Amino acid sequence: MISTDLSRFEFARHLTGAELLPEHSADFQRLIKDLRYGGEFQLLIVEFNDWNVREDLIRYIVKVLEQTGMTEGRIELNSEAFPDVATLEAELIRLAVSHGVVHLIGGESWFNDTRLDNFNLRREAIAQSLALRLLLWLDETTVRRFAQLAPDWWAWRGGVFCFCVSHHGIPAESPTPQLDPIDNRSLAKRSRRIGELHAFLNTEPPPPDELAGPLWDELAGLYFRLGEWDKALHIRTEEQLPVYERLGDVRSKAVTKGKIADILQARGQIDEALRIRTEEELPVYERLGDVRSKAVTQVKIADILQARGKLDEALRILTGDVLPVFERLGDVRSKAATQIKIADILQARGKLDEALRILTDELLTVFERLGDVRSKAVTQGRIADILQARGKLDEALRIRTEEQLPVYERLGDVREKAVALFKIAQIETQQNQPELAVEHLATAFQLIEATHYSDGLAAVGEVYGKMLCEKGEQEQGLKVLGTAHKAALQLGQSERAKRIAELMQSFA
Amino acid sequence: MTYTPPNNILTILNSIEFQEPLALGDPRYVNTQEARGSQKTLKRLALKFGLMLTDGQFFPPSQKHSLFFGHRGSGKSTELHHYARELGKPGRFFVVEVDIPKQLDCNNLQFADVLMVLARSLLAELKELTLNLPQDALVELENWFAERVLNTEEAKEFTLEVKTTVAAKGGIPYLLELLAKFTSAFKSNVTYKDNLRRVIRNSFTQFAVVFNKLLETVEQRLQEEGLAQRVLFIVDGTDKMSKADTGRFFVEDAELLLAIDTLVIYTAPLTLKYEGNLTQSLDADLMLPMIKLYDAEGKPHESGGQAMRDILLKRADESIFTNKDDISRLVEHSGGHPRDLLRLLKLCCEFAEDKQIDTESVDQAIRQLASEYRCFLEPDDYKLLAEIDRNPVNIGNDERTRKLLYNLALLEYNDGSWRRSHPVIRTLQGYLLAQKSLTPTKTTEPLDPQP
Repeated sequence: MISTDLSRFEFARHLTGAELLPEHSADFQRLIKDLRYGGEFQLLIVEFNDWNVREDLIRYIVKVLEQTGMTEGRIELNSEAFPDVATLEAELIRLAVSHGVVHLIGGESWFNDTRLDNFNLRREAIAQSLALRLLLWLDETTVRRFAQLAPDWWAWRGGVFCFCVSHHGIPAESPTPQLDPIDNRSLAKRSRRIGELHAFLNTEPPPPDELAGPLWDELAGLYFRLGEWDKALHIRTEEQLPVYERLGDVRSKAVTKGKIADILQARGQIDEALRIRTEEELPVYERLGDVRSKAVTQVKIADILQARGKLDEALRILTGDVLPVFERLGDVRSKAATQIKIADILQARGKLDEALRILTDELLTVFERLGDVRSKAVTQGRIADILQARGKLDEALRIRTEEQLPVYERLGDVREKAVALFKIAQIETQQNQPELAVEHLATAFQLIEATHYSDGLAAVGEVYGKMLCEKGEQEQGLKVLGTAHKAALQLGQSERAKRIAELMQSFA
Repeated sequence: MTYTPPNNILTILNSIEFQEPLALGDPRYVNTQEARGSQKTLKRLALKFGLMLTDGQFFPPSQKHSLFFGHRGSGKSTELHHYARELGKPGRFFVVEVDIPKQLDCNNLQFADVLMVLARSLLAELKELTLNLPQDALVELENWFAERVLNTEEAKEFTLEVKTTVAAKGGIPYLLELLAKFTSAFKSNVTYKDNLRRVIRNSFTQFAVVFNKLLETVEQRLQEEGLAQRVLFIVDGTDKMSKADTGRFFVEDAELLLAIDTLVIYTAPLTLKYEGNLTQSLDADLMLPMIKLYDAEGKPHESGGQAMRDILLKRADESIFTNKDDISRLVEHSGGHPRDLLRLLKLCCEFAEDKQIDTESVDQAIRQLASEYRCFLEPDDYKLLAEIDRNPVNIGNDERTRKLLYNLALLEYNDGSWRRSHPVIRTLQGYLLAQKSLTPTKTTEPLDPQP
């Protein structure tokens, strides 16, 4: 069904790749893929021309492979420690017992013609006796030498990866900000884009503010969607806001503050989020006469009210204030996004038929027409909620696993993925499959913990902690419940907090 | 059970192992005889050993040592498995298949090692067959070991090892254990390996006599039982030796090989064919051609394209490609070389960041393979490749041409009658420049020129 290890690994692979120079990203992704999914023995040739870059890359590889439990070793090739190929082979055999990957460093000077010849002679014997991925780090000249002098050995390569750095100081081309509200870029494309943006924004001298502002915005948005909320918040407050302050761009500053509030709201810092929206964002839009931005902010305020159980007030804002604005503006996408929230409230009030009608008859078609795969997946999730409430569990599970989850995985949308996994676990519990449910809850909780998404911590933590306690893992279960309790209190969800406290008491 | 090709990128990536030939019955096997234009290869091979495949007439020569050439990774091993099945039908040959890389260290190989493996493989097959040999059939071979090997000063370490570990006392089990010790010593690079080789070389004439006698007895018994007419060794992996070992094995020691009166097929690297220093006694004109995607005039060769496509789609389900035209592009850029087609597929799986292989990944895979070829090419290589592409008819060999053939930068078609550069090389800037610098006449179209 869903391989949780796989998606965690893929996520780490892409996010780590985003930290590299853009030109190294593709080869890094490829190399990691080979290490993880390729054969047990592989000889991978890694070309580099900067020692610092090599060391950084090795650290990154270690970081990603931690997800797989694969341990790494390192051999510094020098004539004293390894006078010949036989001693190297003996060391490889020793390391293979407890390591999956070994970095061979220093080959450029160590591989003289005799050793190259002997290594070539022993290659099949080494391959047959070792379950080890060998990363042979070499400079360009040595790679060429290998290819020319040992063609058999070369034909036997598992892959060639190039991490050379251009020292010519060619200025990076300015990336065009991608401001399309519909962002269907895959996780791989997003991580590559992060690398490109970093490379450009961190050049010396820094790019002009007019150019940098929208790019910092895009970068923070990418991090936010990928669940890297600390990084997103840091960029919004430390890079983006100062840019707009310097430019005296009041509107962009307000929009950025709204996006900071998005992060705080997702983390459960509701009061501070509400304060920013009402005191620092709304008044600016009102003063500027920006009705659209005002309506968008009102939707966010309605979200907070809804989370606090004030459904009537939230519904009034959405239907009375917001929807007419978007209709008047002809803003189909924002209107559809508002309708999803209205459907949520209708569903919470038990008006399932009306909610289902809006979702299937109006929204699915709109998002399909717009080509907005993420919003379409969100809508399908709401439909699955209603089907689940009506006992149509198989169909609800199918939508979650086949329609929704693959989209979030492709987009790298951690928050929505965690929610989908939580919902899947709920259905599995109803289908009397507690083992599967716990497995999916564990992954959902892990993803949520990594992002500090408070609402998720409270909701998922309550169910996951309870299930752990019930299956006898009380210590772990109580720890999870404790985290959930703290999150519920922070969110002002007093009823949930009380329920969790009672659970903790009963299992203590 | 019907075979279904994998449709998951990670499964495909994990299953691509291009060092391993396909075993008989492997569902991924594709018959490539028509595609290579090599329908006659098996027929010719059989005829060399006296068998007319069409009507079953059989007049085997007393001995023949044939070399079977082909590019590295062109599918020789897989084809030989299929030839073995055909030649080993009842009443024909008692085929003994010998997989050298599995039994010996291919990268440090001498005739003595191969000789011991031939003997071991024959005895192992005989043991399986439970063919009753005359009681004294093995005595001379046992004596040769006892007197010429185990009693020598040079082999004393080996003898000690044999005395302490070999349990069987005589007959096939004893010889099998003994020969296993030899091959294990040759493979594991023990210190006394060279001593052992020297001992065998010094008493080789006597070995040839007793081994030939044994072969004669075995063939007589096979004929009496109506099982086969002759023993035929198919030795695979001898094309994977280092250049120095290849020369020593097929050139310097050729006369020693020929002293064994039997029928043998050895796989051999293509460059050996053109070095011109092989002894006349070795039969050296049979080669497995590459799969042709075009003919010498540049007209598409449909069965070649189809076979390569089949090879690819047996490894990866068609649904894995977002654009079906990309399948043809991969085939085109493989040059009809099966291993490079698999390498391209592997690269596609590495580059693909979704659940399918898209056009961008295919482009990246082609660029990557091209850049790996660029690693060993020298400026003059491009010039020569462009010249050959302009006139693909094989007009001879110099050292550079042989090197390019060995490195697969130059591919040979139709039993070697014409050649063409590897298609990925034609996308490289170096090639394009070299091509431009030629005097204008008909040239081969570059594939997807790369900046």
